[in-house]
Amino acid sequence: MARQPLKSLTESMFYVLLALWRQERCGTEIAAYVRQLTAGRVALGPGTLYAILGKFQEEALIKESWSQGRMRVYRITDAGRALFRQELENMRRCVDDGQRELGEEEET
Amino acid sequence: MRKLALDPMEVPAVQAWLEDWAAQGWYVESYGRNLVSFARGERREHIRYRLQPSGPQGGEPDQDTREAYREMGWTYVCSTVGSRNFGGVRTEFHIWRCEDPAATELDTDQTLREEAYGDLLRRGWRNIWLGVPLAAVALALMLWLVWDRPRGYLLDLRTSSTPLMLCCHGLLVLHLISRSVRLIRFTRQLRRQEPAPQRAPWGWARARVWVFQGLYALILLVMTGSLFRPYDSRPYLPVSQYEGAVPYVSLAELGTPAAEEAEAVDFHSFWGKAAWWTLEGDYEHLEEGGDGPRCSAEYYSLRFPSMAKNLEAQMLKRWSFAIDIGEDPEFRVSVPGADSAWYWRDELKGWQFLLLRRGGQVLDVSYQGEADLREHLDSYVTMLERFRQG
Repeated sequence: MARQPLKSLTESMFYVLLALWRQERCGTEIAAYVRQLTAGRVALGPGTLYAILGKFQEEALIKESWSQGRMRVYRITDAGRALFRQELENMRRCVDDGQRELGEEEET
Repeated sequence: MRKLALDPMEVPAVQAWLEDWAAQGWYVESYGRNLVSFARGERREHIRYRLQPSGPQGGEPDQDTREAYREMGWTYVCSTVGSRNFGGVRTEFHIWRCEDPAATELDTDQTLREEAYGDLLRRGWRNIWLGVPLAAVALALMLWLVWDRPRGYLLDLRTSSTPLMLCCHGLLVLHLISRSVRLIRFTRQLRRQEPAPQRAPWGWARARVWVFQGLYALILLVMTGSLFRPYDSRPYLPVSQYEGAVPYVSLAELGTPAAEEAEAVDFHSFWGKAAWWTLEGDYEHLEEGGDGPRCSAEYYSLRFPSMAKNLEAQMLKRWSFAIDIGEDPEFRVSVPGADSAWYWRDELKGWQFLLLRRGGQVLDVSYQGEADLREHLDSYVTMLERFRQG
């Protein structure tokens, strides 16, 4: 069966791409950044984190930029940025729709 | 210390089982198909074990992965063995251990966790699609063997272990199906984004392992036993060589003693409590003719009277190669102490045939000689009565 290309992101995937948006990071740095950014709401366990990194590399959404010993540092690719923007846009629309509905409800 | 391995497909139960042993100071070292090895260590609370599907390749995690996980608090312990072949071992799950209560869970994304089970799930569905028809066939065969009397399969199988093997194989197929169903339920829970439990009671999982390991052992035992005692290579031994009594009526009791001692063979059967075949008289020159005396008898003590009835019906059909006996009352004789009795004499060749049923017992006698079996029916009934009481 042919593998389906990634079309949408889970919350964990979203934050991994976000963590790489501004700078290159290694796995543990990504996990620490996400935990700090979300005040602990989103935690990335190693099983989840390395599954995402592996999947993103297969999809060419990120690339390994350099490695030292066993530490590998990743950077986001143009395809990764495009997918992230698209996801962000979708989420923005969702938020707009929700706010509009809530706004109308409050007005009535 | 070694323990019988719980089925790794019961993920939460296995995780709880390993954690409970760690709390008692026993740490898993290797997880085979049948046995799990534990090593003694310090008793420590709050140790977590997590099972992670090893993927379609089924190897072990590489050193980089192990190192990366270790940085986040998780240590690789071992992998469970899914299957062995010439290419080596195919693993099913990696087992990770975490001693830091503050460390993040191994898997924190339910969607990705469910995806990781994709390969196991495909194999699970395959087991179900193959297993359900196989189990149905095994069940149908069993029912057919037990109830379908006109075809005579009971007669052929009365001394074989085939029904037992069929039964065991059917149950093992059901076991394969049930472990797949448990895995499918677990992954559906993940798909529904319900909080999947990391721990579950493991008592039933252990009981299931004992039952199915017992079945495997039974199959192995029966197969090994049949290698050493195959159905048609048992020797007939003189009856005096048997410790206990042999269920037969001798030619001497019929008043036509033979020159040689009677020989007998006993069978161990799934169906029966006892099965004996005896031969007495001159059977070496049977083809050359002669008036005997010679007598052969088949004795069966079956577990249920209904099975004895089936066997009786099949034996009558066996007689029917020579005569159309059917249910003809002409051949039925009344014998006090027996549930039913049939007698037929072949005047041309001088053979007499007697078939007796009493409870779960069936006796089939073929005799060639000067005695009239009808005059010795009491001896046969007495013999049946003696062997019914053991």
